[in-house]
Amino acid sequence: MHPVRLLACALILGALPAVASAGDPGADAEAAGPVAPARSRAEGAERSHRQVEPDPAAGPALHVVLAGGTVMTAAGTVHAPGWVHLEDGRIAALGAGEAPSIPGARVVDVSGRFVTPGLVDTHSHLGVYPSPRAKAHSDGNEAVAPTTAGVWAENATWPQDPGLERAVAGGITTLQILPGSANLIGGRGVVLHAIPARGARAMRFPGAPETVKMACGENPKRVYGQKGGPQTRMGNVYGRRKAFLAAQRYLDGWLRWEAKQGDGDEKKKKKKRKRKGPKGGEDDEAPPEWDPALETLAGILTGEILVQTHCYRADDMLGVLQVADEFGFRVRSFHHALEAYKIRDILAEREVASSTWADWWGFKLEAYDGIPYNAALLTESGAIAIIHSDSSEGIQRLNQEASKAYWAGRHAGIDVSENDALRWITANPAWALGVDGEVGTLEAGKRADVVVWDGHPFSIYTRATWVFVDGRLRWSVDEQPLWSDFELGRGLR
Amino acid sequence: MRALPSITTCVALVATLPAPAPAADCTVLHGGRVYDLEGTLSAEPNHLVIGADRGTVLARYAGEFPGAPGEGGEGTWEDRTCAWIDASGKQIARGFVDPVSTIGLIEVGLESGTRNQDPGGPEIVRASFEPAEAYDPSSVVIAAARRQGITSVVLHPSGGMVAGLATWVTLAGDTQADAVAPAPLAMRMSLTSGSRAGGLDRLRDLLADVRDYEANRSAYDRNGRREYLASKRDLEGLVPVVRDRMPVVIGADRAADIEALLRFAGEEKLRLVIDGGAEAHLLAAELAAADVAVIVRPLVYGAGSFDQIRARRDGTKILAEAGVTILFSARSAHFARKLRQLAGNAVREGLPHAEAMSALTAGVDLAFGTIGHTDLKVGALADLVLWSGDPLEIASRAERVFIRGAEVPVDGRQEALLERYRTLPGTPVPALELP
Repeated sequence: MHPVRLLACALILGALPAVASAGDPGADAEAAGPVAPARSRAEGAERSHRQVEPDPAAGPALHVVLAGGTVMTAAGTVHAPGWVHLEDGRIAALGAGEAPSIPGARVVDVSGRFVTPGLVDTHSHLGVYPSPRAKAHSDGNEAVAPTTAGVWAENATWPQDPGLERAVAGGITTLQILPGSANLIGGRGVVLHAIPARGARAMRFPGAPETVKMACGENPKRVYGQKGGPQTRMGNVYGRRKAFLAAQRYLDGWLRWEAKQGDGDEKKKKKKRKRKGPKGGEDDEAPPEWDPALETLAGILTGEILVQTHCYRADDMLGVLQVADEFGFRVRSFHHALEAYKIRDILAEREVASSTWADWWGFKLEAYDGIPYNAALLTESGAIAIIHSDSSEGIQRLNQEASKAYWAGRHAGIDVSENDALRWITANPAWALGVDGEVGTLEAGKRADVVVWDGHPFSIYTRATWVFVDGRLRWSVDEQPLWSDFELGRGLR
Repeated sequence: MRALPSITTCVALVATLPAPAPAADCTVLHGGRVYDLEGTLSAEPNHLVIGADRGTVLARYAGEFPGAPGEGGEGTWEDRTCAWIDASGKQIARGFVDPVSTIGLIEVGLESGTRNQDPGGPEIVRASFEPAEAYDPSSVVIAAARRQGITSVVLHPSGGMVAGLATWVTLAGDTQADAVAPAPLAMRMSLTSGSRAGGLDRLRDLLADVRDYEANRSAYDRNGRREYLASKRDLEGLVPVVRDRMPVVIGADRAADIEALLRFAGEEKLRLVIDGGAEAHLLAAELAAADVAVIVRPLVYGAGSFDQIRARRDGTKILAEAGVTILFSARSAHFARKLRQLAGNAVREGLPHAEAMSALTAGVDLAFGTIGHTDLKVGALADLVLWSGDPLEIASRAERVFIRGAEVPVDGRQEALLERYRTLPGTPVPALELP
């Protein structure tokens, strides 16, 4: 093995960041020729996350003070008026009243406007089911088997989807692209920063954990009912259990091998390593085979990979939690979760988020008990509510969706605040994606993902004026180049 | 603003429907500002008296009101005792109408046993099919729509080249007789799949058959005519389209398709309504000149399909400025909640608020030639909604909804679920006490 790679491998061994080198372009760019199989899970993860494209966020971040607007932090405070200082791609400081004088910073008067964190959507299929609808771009469901844990949404995310720019125009700065819900375990999702790039890998939110899409209920039944199953909800649970039993064995194989390697290190001077025999016999010290599908499942069991589960009915969600308990993993967020309100005490106690819509319901039987009070009820009970889009249209106006759910709750007498509702599309989804330390609220030190709105973000008449990602202006109501190659040459703008 | 169509037979059609049992014979809505047919809010508070017995506005006052509030939610109007609602600070508008709906036709989207908008089968001409015959007045979807200020919908069929008849339905009453208008409003067609030119080609053949049939009915009955593309009842269904200018609703988003449809409608002398129109703004002047209404898509920005590539944020505004009659539709039973969001977003992108309100309340009358409603003046059908504020703003709510002068519930199954699960933990259905 190449000595440098061996060192990297040794450093990574034992550590768990699945995204070991995302955002590290050119890592090992000199690599050429055959590469030996990975000798650790971490090494496989590191290799599969290398990035070819240079960082698209090149160029200096803006150094500005947004002054005089109403600053809604989503962290419990509203500064009216207030100011936010963006520097080096981060929120340097913020506060109430008149902005302090900051040398070198351009002061932008945003009085009459509202400043919020960039919006975060936990559930998008932009890129994998891009605009315009086309058979050739229908890349969201690897519907060939009920468990396809080895596929990654990232690999199908078309960065030229015009919907990405439209989402940013609506204030979205971070979004999770998920595989569809045809499969019990449909593959990995990917958390992206909403920036233009040539490939989705370069859009990956730096340091974001890996995620996985699971599904319960009607969809896997409908897709596989005549194709070998699952045909019933019974089959759904069985399929999930089988997958995690295999993952347990896989993980166990690695743990035993790594333990043996540890023993070997201690005894390496005394004991000579066995080598492959001349007849090609099995080397008893060969590592287990690094398997992309089992890696995803193993990552769920170890907690490295955040579980995002499409599930509508309350009893289906309880069934997923039962399997999670059986195998010792946690569900980070249920998605759609239209009946989450029925089990919100349990979801609150277990700290499982619910990514839901404001008012979708009735489009299938498992959605028949959806009510527009879901998010508000969850919040009132201390559960983590999120408004997601699952729609190239809805993602353009996620603020309106949150507002609909907020006002439905208020009109029904449910105790929710504006700050709660703003968190449905900022801090809470950031938590569900494991990036809440970086985005989701306006707090000093966080990434400068910021939206300036021309009115209250919960008004139907409000539009985003400016959208900053990492302190760089990515969308302006005044001037906006088309992002997508697809839209060029049509006289659109 | 467009000219209103002349009053047609549809006045009687909608206004003579039987009213549901009234809660009170009359209701006073005191002190609210009232939208007129053109979507303008009255500058001064007005006082409306509506009657469930007649289903109409009984009186309207701008200044002094001849009566006073009393006890127990009642008050007086001249010598009568009526239900009394203090509408001060609030807004009153005619009920919204969704012009393309499947409420009461589709109870659960993916459950085929609850879907009634498409008869299925291989026939592509279904001109005698009227899905309103399958309307379920007990659908739980209805209350959810009323809660958003929607008091009527037009039920549309789908499938085939000629999908069938679209019918006005009022979201009140326990029976089809209460709710469904006795005659259809429009014919639904589509350009079918494959080449859109092929769709137009077949529609021309079909309309030629209809005209031939209409001129030679007795010969047809003696088997003395050529073979037609459609059955006798389907041909009969299409006769109002070619003879009486019954509106024809055709889905189209692409500018080229709209252009071709305008030509086609002109040649065939059809009264066309475009459903979709994502790129219609590119033909705004032509649509206005041909008096073709468009049921718009204000939330489509960015190409959902190849037909929508040139959709604009402000497409609705451009159409309205050119004088095109616009309508808004959620186009789905369960998404009726989005109706006012659609209109609000069009206003956000520059459409005058009044135009949006007019489209929501009077758009169907303008586009389909019905005058089921007029301004909320004496004698007008009392389908109206008391809004807490601007009906398009998310923070506003439909506080009270009246259909034919009688208050209708806006709480439905969704609110029953809310009530049941309002308090947790524990089983939502506690054990019973022994009697």
